[in-house]
Amino acid sequence: MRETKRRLEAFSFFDYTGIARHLSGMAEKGWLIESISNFGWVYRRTEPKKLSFWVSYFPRASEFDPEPTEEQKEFHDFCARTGWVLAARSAQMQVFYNEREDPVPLETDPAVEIQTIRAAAKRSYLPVWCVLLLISVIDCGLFVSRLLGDPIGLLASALNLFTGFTWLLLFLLCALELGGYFVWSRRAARAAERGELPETRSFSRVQKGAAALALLGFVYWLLSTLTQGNALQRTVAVTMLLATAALILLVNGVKELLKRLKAPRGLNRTLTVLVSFVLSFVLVGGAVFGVLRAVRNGGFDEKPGEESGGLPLMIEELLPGSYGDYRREIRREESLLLGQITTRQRPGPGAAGQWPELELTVTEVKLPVLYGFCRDSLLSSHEDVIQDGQAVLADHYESSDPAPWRANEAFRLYWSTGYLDQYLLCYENRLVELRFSWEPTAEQMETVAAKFAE
Amino acid sequence: MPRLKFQTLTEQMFYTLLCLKDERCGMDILDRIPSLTGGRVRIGSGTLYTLLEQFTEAGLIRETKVEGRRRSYILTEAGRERLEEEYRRVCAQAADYRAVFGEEEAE
Repeated sequence: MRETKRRLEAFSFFDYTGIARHLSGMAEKGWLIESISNFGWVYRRTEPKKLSFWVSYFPRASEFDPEPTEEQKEFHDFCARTGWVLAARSAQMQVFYNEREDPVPLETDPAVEIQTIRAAAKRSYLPVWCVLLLISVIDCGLFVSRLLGDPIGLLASALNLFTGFTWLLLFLLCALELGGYFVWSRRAARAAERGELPETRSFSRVQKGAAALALLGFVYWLLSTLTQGNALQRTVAVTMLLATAALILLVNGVKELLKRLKAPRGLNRTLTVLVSFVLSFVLVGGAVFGVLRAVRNGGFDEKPGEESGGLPLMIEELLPGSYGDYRREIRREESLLLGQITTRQRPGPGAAGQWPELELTVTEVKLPVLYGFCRDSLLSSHEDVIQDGQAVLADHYESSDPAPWRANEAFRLYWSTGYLDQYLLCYENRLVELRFSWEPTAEQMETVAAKFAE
Repeated sequence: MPRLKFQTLTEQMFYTLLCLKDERCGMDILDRIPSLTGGRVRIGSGTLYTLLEQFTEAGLIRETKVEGRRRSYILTEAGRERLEEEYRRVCAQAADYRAVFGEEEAE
């Protein structure tokens, strides 16, 4: 039988009544809170009993304190005098329990209690949530700006959808948390004038729901990357995951080690912040550098016969010949909304003379309502350069005969003073953009049609 | 307009200051207030701890000695004046009550 258990709890910093109620319920089930950390709340098995809990705040405490300060210990002595026993503490939050039947409340003056909670909130809780709100607003803004600039690239990427979704969740949580705090603070100040302190409103279910959604999003991204991504995407995902996990564990490990070594609060804070900066650069920067280096050296180039899932259209199918020295670049993105494959076949570095090249982007639209949006987005990706109301450089798609391609619609790129051999073909739920380094023949168009018209 | 700090004292503030007419440590105050008021007024440990800090900052009490984690305090002249002001305010309230309801009813 387990003597301890760890649970991930979600409570707002100021939700003292919600936390006390929850801990009383746990004690009645025979689990007494023992410690609170970023990695969960630990409960110790005890005899089930009815206990009163009180969440108190000590504004001058810090999560970097190696142990309670003398002032805190004096405060704990005060509490012990009225039967309140310290059960757990985390930074400024301190949890007490009392076995007496009708104990003297730990706080008996609401106005004084609010001052203490507000002072504690100003020191750590509010700055942290304000920074998180700022970061989430910036990232949501970047997401929207990318959605306007490159909607297909964004919506076809499981990673981008996951991160955008997570930033949005974080923004909503920050707004809820900070809004909840300020609403509580105003209500509490008014109630304190009447000698009362209102119950706090618990957002625990919303926070747990948001965490579950973020976890689902993460699992979806991870599974889709591992099962559908190419070698580069899988490597980047695994490397970044490992680097992030190592970063979290090492930074937390350094902080806890310094606490065990009884390092002063200031020294611990300085060293932990320093270590987190250095490790961020070393681990994440090193991982990015390693992957980029491998890419530059062609470590992730798809080799003939080794393509994951194969190229949707190969140059060999249009121009028979030997292309063994050709470099093949494939980029696949897949999300619940869209799938996109971008391929490029070009001569290797040692090739001399004129060799054909083929670039292809196939966008599979899984959600039919997005089809028009994606088509328009691809068409508007080429726009004439206009200065003072005059077109100074033509760069746009023009309608072309779709019949040879067996497409619903076809467009050909007009650039400067003439047509290029770049086409946008619109099929049922599929948009194909092709760039040839030669003018395709009717037979080659039919080969393309056979590939994509079905 | 913000209220001036300690302009009016709550019962818990009043009795905390009253207990410090003589030098006392915080934990003694926790016991002294209920015995002084026959259990009518009780003060929480957290509230007393914060009040002692705030009274010290405001100069109404001063620390006299520290023995381990036991700190003792005593009322200052400013604290005595503040307590007397509060006493006069409470007396004035009682006088007003008597003026409205008459001596007999008040008794």
